[in-house]
Amino acid sequence: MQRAPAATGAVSGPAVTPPKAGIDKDGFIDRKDGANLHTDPVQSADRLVRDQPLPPATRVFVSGTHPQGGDWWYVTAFLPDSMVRGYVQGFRVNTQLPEPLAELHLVADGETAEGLAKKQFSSAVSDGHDLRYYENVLLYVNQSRHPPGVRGTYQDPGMLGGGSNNVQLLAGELIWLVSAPYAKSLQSAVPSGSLTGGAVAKVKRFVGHIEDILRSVTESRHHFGEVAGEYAQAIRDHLPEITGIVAAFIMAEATSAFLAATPTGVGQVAAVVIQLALAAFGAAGMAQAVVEAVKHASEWLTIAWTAKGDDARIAAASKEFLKMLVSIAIAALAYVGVKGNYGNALKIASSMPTGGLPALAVIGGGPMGGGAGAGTGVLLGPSTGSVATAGNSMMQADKDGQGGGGPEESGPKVPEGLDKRLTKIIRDVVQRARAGKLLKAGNYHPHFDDATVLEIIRDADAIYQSEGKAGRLIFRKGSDIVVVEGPGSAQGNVITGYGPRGIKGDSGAAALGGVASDGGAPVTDAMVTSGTIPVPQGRPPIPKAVQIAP
Amino acid sequence: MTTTDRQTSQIVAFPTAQPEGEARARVEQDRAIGDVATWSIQTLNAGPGRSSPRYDQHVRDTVGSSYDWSDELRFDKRTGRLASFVLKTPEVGEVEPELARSWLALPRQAGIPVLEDRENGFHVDPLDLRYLADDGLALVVMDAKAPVPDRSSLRLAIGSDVDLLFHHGRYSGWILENPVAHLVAAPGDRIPGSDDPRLHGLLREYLTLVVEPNIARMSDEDPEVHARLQALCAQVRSVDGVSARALLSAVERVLETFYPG
Repeated sequence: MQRAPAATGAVSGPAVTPPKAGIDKDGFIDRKDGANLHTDPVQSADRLVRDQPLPPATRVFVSGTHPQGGDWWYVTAFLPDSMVRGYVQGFRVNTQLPEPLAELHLVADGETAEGLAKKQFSSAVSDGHDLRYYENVLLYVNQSRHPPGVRGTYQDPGMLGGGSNNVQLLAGELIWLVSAPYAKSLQSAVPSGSLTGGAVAKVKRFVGHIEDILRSVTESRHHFGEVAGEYAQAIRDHLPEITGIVAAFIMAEATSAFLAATPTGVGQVAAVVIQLALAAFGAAGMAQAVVEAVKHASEWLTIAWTAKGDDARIAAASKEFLKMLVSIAIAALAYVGVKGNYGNALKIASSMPTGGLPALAVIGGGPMGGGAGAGTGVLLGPSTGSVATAGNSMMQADKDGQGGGGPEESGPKVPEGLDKRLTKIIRDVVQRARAGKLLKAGNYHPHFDDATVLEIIRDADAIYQSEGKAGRLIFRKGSDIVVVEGPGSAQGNVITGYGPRGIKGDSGAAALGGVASDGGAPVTDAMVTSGTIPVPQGRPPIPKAVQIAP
Repeated sequence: MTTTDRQTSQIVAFPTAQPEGEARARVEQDRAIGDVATWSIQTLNAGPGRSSPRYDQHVRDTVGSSYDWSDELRFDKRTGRLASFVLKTPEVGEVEPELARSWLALPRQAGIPVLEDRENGFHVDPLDLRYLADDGLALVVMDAKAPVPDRSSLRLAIGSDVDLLFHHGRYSGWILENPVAHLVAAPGDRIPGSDDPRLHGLLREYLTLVVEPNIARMSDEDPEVHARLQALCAQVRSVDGVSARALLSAVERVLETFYPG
């Protein structure tokens, strides 16, 4: 197999000020006028990374914020022909995806709900009945968007042919598109449609894998001290940028390869990540294999794929990810001829072409979208078998039934005799979480990503009710908690969360030390029941709570 | 009473649940909160949305209570002025109409509370009762123990259409005028800005339906309440406009919470 032509001009464009790590979320440009990409919006030396704004509906990965301006978010985006990174105004990015595989879509002139449903869900549609169901899904998942891009009323999925086009798209508006398996999982909320249990289980498992891989990347900064070495400094200062590039790549380009679940396809993801990192370091012209990097990439992906949300395994995967980066840095430093002062030796490109990257696995008979499909393959290490190792191990884990998810009936037991209303709230919330569904309060204040919230609820060690009129319910798993509305018309709606798996935020960092992107302080059973959860100055104390389950 | 007398005498207090006591504030005359309030039926909001990127910074710049655990009132750390709020619309029951009308009859006085002690946070319990005026042009929310107003009562207009109520200086409720003009699907959405009389009856039906003990019946999946909610949903759906969509969103949310599938 021949190595693809190297990307050239790797280090290009104006220098982007390094971000403050944090946020770490997948998102989309959710403004019709797009978002300008800046190098340093807080300083007078600011320049635009590209002349044109990032187009509406561009997928981005948000790695952090500007060190002096939290309203400016640092993003990485894979455009059709290049990777770009820089700062955009935070409000222009929507990270509240209805599901991890959702995409934002700009409705084109003349586009119809039927046409879009056909295009998006063609593999799932078996007859006219199904198609109408998927049009209803478009209406359902976009019902709370403002301004609306989909309007109308649910149509009868049983009605074959004809129809009155009850579901209409508004040209020029942005709407959510969801994956076909997720659409199927909505059957309890959307009129009709038949549930294919296997497909839903598969996508839940798959999403769990992707989330664990992303966590292993974004949380790698916490393990720097354990993967020290003289070359570590070369990547330490650039870690937020590199993790942004890798995470953006995984979400924008690699998900299909993972979903295809072929060892070759998945293994090539590792290969492309290595190529990306080399290109980012300005060593895209390297023709020789990076054996050590391939080994660590395989370990990283295999451990993350089989982590099932386990913190220790994700930490182990993070370390392998860092070791992979160090290996790449060593190769890149040698390539550019650096023999000392590693800390400033590597510069990260603000934009770089992706046309030379190797092709990824294909799914559904079609090539991967985006620039990563332009190449023809890659040879890294002794043979392609090396990079395929990761894929083999990961696929085996799934075959063994070990991949993702957890026991369906895990979680807290509700004691007999508990107030029936509280029992109902707990059961409903846990049931929804098991179905991957989260009802967020209108005043939701996020500290965790949705997957973490779902996991804490689903697998809670204990549930409490807070004292006072508000009577919030608290779900605790380990040292993280999720707070939901108590009895009332919004009962069970999620309000917020606290704990190490979230972030402190600016206010938490100011009061408790560290930086905003650090994990929150651990919350223990004793803290919950005694009302002593640490809070920043100016925030109210947490009320005492009584354990109600198990 | 002279202006000076009023400025020196107008001290108000918010009863706090934790620590048990009160948070004292003085009234700064003729000043209003910067943001226009939104009403999602669940809560009355002003200030940066809790899900917005600005919220963390806002919390850092302010002190007070948090919707995480109670009603939210945030005061600027530097000036002490009320900067934002998230106030729950009660669901326990209805204010006695005569009592509500007597509070509505009070003159509005423009001003804003300025917190005295800005070192520590506290909890402000949500209130108990609500009342939608007969003409649909005011929502009154009150503490269950609030008395008939007298000369010591204060209707403090803190912003466009939003008043805080105090009796003997003690926080006792709030009033939202033109509630339909502030109706949104979610806090942070743009308000309709104008009233829509077609929604008055439907909003009243919602407030009559989604209240205790009906909510307890919903929790038991009572079919009669379910049918009434579905009927309301259909009625609201037949009305167009931003306010109608916001109300529809509220009804659908209740159905989703209590009658999934």
